[in-house]
Amino acid sequence: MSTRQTYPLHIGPTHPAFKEPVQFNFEIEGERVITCDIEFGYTHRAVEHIARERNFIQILYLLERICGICSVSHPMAYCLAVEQAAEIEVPPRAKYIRTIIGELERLHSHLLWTGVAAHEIGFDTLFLYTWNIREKVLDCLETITGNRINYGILTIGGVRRDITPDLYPVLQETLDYYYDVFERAREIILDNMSIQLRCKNVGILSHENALAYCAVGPTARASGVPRDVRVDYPVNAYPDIEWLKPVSPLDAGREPRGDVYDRMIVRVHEIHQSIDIINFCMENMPEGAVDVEPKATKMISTLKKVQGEGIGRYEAPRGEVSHYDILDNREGPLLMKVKAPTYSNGITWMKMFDNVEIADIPIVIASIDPCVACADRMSFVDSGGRRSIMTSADLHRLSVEKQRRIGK
Amino acid sequence: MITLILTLLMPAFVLVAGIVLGLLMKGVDRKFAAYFQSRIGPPVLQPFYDMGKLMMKQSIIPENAVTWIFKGAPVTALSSSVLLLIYIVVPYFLYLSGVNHFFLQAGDLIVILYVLAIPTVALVSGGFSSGSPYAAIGAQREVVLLMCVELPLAVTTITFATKMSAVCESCPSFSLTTIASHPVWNTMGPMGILGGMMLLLSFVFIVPAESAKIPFDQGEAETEIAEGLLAEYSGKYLAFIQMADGVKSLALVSLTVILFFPHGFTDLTGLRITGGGYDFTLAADVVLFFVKIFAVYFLLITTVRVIMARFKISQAAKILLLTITVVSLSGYMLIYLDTFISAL
Amino acid sequence: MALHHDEIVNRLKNEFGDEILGINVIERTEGVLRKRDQRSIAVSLTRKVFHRAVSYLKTMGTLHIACPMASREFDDYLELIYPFTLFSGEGNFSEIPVIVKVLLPEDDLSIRTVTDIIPGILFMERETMEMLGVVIEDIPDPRRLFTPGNLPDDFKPLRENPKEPEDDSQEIKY
Repeated sequence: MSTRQTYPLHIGPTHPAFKEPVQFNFEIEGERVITCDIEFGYTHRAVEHIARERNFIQILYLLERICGICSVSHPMAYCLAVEQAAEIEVPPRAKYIRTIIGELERLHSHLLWTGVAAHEIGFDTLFLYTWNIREKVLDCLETITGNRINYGILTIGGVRRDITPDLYPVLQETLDYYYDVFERAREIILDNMSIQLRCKNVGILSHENALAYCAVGPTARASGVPRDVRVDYPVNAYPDIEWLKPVSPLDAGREPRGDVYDRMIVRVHEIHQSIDIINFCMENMPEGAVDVEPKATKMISTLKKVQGEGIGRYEAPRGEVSHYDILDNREGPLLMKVKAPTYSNGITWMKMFDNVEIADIPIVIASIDPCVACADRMSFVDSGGRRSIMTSADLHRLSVEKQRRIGK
Repeated sequence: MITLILTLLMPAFVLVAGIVLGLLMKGVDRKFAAYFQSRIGPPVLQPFYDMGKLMMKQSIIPENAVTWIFKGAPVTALSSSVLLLIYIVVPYFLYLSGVNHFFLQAGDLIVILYVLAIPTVALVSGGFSSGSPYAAIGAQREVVLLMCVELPLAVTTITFATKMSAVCESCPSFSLTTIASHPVWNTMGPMGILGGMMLLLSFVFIVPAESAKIPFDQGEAETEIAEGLLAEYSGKYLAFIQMADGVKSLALVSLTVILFFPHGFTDLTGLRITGGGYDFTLAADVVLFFVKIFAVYFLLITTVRVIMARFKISQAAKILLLTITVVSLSGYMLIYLDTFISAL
Repeated sequence: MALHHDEIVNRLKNEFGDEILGINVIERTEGVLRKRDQRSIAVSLTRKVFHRAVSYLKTMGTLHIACPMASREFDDYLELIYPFTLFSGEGNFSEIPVIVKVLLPEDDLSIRTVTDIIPGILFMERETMEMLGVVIEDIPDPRRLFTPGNLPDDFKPLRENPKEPEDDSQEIKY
């Protein structure tokens, strides 16, 4: 058994298992993965570069579009960073509203993930079931913020729209609905035989590796690392919640092993935790203003006077989102550095692919809830030895020319 | 003379009817699955629209494919599937209509076992020849699956043959007509019925495995290897493969119906429908057969694929080779014991 | 067990003395019903002790990298900012961001890798190499992470004024 025959297998950048472009280069022996390499950069939009040319308020809407699912998390971390740098105190009511929106987002993100994971292992019924119950929270978000995705509700120093008392029944109805369906959904997702067959002991990330490779979010928690920014470094309304603690597979009576099933347990239990947190916020909602400065121009001119640096950290559904902002008497930040949770977790893929089968590749990739987002609107064309960078204007010109050619 | 014409015409009829019915069943299957998944689902005739669309499309053949195998595989798969269907269904209907012909001796289970493998083998060679790593992986998996499902299927065949040889000593014991004329349930005690149940249970896994439906669709696993075997197929070749898939599923379901529920209308009610001097019992039999086919298709293919996730190929092999073989073997034991006891 | 923030500052001062160019603690209060203090430590030190300082930080508790390295450009040097955090995962408000800043002269943009201390920083170091042009010494995997392979080597997208490539055959438009 000395000769091992391996062959390369490239999965991505476009593949039915991926929702976003990323490339995996595997070396396969039979059905087993021997080595794995990851190539990023297919959607690099240079958000950090674009942000330098925008002012503080415009950046908020740019950041919402880093990722459709974490569309509250990135602006939230950015607001926290700027507020820390400029020492702005957010009104209590705004803190609570931020928490509610953030948790509603977590709720729909985890339901979405469960559906995607089910689809990856060929269980389309569960996929449609979870996406069906996810509609309720999207409707609720639409009623509260006006949009199903990309809510545009956060602003520096507060929120842009209040949750008025006549919206409370809508929220309450949503919460009741999820309290009702949770037990049944948990049973369908976690007690299913075929899901357990596919997810247990697959894609294991050990406790040591989770610590060493700086895993964040549910991926770290499933490996037994109780890392949760909401508890470690809390912001918004989280410090008020005394019972808040990181979810662990132990809650479901399972010793954390760090496999895909543990990540599933963590996410499903976090759905319940999110409902409880929203419930808490609704019961303890303080009165008062929701914004320190409703006028955007005034806020920008205040921030223009500031020199300082701030780090904003927020627990997005997928893990920790961190922003590092440097303010230096400009209309926008001098530098904005973004970290999405997948950036941290992506490197743990290499460890998870130890000894998995080809069939496990999609679910292992999906298990960290990847969100391959960041990048530039540049295209590099290599023609006749001359390399050139095409800007979006060039691309537009080329496509117009081609359209004319075709039209003739 | 009429018998001869009938015998010749019937396969031609089965060819057309098999493809139409196979596609229709696919449509019904999708509609039912959609209902389970709280969707609306495509129209029942969607597979026909798909066929029309695929037939019009350009067929792309990969540069590094072995062209003649690549092109030949879908046609082989379709023709062998139709042959399988003819071989299963025609003797049964000849028996029901009371026509005595050499075909009656012909519906042989062993031949069926072999013909059953041909569409899969054709697709596997098509997959290997298409020069795509995804297709190669899919083909490897399909071969593994084919080998694993053979054992429980063989056990089931032997069980039926043993039983038939005990029931009717003069009949050819591997023949489908013998099985159809002596329904297994009629001549068995409680132990035998339990054994029959176990064989039926093993068919709940064998039929999806043979027809490559979830949880045994590893060969084409969409999210893993991007439709595997079929990754490189397009246009009319894909249409042929889809038709072959429909016909093969139909043939498998017919086989299940004939093995386990062969009762004709007369067997069930003891009546014959006559009117205006004609005997309509055969028509009633055909309707009854369709009802049974739809019911079995619904239970064995639609329901199973809706409530399960896809297995890994290693798990699938383990389940088929160990669990299902043990189930079918114990079915065999029980039926054998039952025959032995009742003979005492 | 989490250390008090003053304790961390003292220990760093004792250990590295003059090599620390500046250290300060930023405090902020969070919470509405339960007021809690949040602290973060910003420490700027010389390149010589950087690697040793990171391994020293690791001896104090769980060391986590929160964000890719930020940078700030001055006239003839570049400030590289490593946002580490200490005591991550210990709950109870104990996590303390420790922001380590290192000054690199413009004519010698290089720093030693810390992947041997925190393996998880690899992607961020690769990004720093391609985006800022900082040479990370002894990095186990020096390939690019985000930018495509045909991007000119001397074009560093995230510098404030990216240099034009010197090779005439490469034409760059903005």
